[in-house]
Amino acid sequence: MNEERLVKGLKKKQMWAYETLYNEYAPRLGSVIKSYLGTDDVEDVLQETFIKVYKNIRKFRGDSKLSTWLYRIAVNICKDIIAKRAKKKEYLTDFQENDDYATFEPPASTNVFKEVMDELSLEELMKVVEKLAEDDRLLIRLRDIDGMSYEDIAGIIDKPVGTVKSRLHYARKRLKELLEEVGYSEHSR
Amino acid sequence: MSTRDSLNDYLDEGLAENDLNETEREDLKNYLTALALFRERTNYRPSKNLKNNVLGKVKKANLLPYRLGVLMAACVLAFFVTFDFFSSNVIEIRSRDAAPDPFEQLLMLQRSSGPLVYSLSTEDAELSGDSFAQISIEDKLMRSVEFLRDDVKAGADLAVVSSTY
Repeated sequence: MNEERLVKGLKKKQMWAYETLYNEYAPRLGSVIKSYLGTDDVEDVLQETFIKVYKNIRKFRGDSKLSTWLYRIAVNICKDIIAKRAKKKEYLTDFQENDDYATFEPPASTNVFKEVMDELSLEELMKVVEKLAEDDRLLIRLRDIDGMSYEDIAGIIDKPVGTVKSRLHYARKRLKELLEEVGYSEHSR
Repeated sequence: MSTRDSLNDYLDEGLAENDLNETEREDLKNYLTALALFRERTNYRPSKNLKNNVLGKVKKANLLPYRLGVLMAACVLAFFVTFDFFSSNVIEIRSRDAAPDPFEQLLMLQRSSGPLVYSLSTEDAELSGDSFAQISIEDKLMRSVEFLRDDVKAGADLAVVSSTY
């Protein structure tokens, strides 16, 4: 899909453009939102993101990629939610599996004990990831999982490239340390 | 224990796996496993419901200017109809005993002055050269109330005939 044509359609408020935008970006945005917030507010944030796109598309000048702009809107909405949570002193973490989402299946094994131990190990691993700060989870998601460039990430979180690099390096180091703390090892599984 | 640099160098600078020592490879494997699990657990598949909700809201927002336009047009039309009604209606006051004359009523409908006791038709006032037409509608209404007070006491009847409708 040609981005220029899509942006033109979005600015003209044509339904086919919004449907295309949704089909292409909703899963990716949803994953990033879930990584960042770690809750089931994903649908609300996604809805708000697309409504904001509708209201502000005329302000999009094409200085950055459309995807970068989209991610930035979603991330800013997430930041607002986190700020509200901090005010309310809520702490929600929900990495529970959901019927709508892909489930992680442990490797097949005839040894039940080993299967159970594997499951525990994976749960332990998720707890480690949950201990990371939201911003660290976001950076690891965007760079190491979604494969975005540093320039794109800098555009999304509105920080210089150098800052993004150093923060990401710190986030990776932090995750590694957390893994070592719990003594997690591939060999021990 | 591997240094931070080897992990970052591998992930960012393209350092080959062969260049890593045993411990660094172990750390890398653990890190990549954690990443794989993180990706699986945070993978999101939007529901059809969500798509309908989002596109429905966009459609609604698209239609809003047209709805506002129709509403404004309806308000303007209502204003003009009301204004026209009050500026061209006629209040007829006659004695209770007098039978309504159909011809007289027909004349009224045709905007003739007719044998009326009182007429508040602005057009009649204009025709007779009365400066009544220059008085504001509010003043006219206040005057008509005064009329009613006196004439209803005297046993007069009141009918409103609009010559426009």
